[in-house]
Amino acid sequence: MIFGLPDVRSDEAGFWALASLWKAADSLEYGKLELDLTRCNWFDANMCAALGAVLANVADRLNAVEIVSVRPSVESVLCRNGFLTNFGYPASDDRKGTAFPYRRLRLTDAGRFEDYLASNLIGKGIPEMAAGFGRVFKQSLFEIFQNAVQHSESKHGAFVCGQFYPVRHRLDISIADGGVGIPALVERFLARTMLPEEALSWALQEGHTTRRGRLPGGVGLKFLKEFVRKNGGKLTIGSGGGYYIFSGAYDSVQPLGHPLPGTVVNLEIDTADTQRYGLGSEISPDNIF
Amino acid sequence: MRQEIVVRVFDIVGGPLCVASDDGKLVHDKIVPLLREGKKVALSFAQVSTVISAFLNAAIGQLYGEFKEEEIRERLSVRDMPSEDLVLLKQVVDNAKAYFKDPKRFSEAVGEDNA
Repeated sequence: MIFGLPDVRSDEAGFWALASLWKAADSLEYGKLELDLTRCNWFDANMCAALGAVLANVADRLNAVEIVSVRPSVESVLCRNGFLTNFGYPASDDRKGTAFPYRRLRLTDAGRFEDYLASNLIGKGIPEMAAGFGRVFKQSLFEIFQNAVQHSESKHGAFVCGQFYPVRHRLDISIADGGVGIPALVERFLARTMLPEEALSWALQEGHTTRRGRLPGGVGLKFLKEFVRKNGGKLTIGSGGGYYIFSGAYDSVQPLGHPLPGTVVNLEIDTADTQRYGLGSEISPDNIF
Repeated sequence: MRQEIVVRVFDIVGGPLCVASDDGKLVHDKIVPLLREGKKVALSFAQVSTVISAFLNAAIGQLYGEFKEEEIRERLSVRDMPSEDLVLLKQVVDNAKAYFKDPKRFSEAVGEDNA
């Protein structure tokens, strides 16, 4: 089958496009998917993580995947971050040092994710982040990664990719898992049928977790949102048939036309942030408990 | 004055990365017997590079289902933890206190008592 992919940005339309691809390839088995990028004039580099997760699920049904008719501007970006080299395109140097390369990691290998962040957050043209900010940013990324480890049930691992925009001091990074997706997990946990956006809303409430057992949870997202709010960044999540966007001023859950395989989390942050991220003076380490 | 026992998280986990629930449980299991004996425990995060909520929930959060708040406050302390990580720990602790006061409010699960 041939699927024509339109522009893909880190927004609702981008998630719709990838969900439509997954829907179109839904019944394809032992066949071939030809992903035609003739109509794709822009592809946000970080969204390679999401596309990688979709294509891994397509390939899992023993389909061959070929990416064709890539426009030169898109090819340049997707070769620099190494995504297209997985589909037979030549490798290209990231001379500007702004690409966070596309990687597929095993969920059992948090150490490799640590290495990935260590080698990309520093010394690739990205200005040195204020120490406290860098620490909280890294924590936020690990919250996302570990959420995939604990909940995604993905057999494909985690897909990560990012792009730094030096002029705008902006870093976009995505982590996708291609697993079961949050709405399905919530439905299973609450043992009732729900609309995907309703299930996603439930999961996004503070303290809610689908983990069973006598262990509190649900703090990671709160931490992530507070970081994004303070930084002035943006958080978007596409999971199953639900889409969520959060910025300091805006918070919304919407349905997607078709479900995505698993969960994609996009984090957009301002790298020039010099704010303090530690405890306020009203809380001391002595009265934490 | 009772002697304070320092529990070094880095040594128990075997590295600077404190992200996995299972690693948090290792720390939890190390300090619970000490707290049960009424000992004072100082949890040192020296050399820890990254700590996240999943780890802290397992290491510390679940203590609120096993001990009274006053017991934890009296016997447990943290040290060598950067201010940014203390913010997260505070969120984990506040969430755990609320959770163990009313676990069902957090789960809303049918046939799930979380006990």
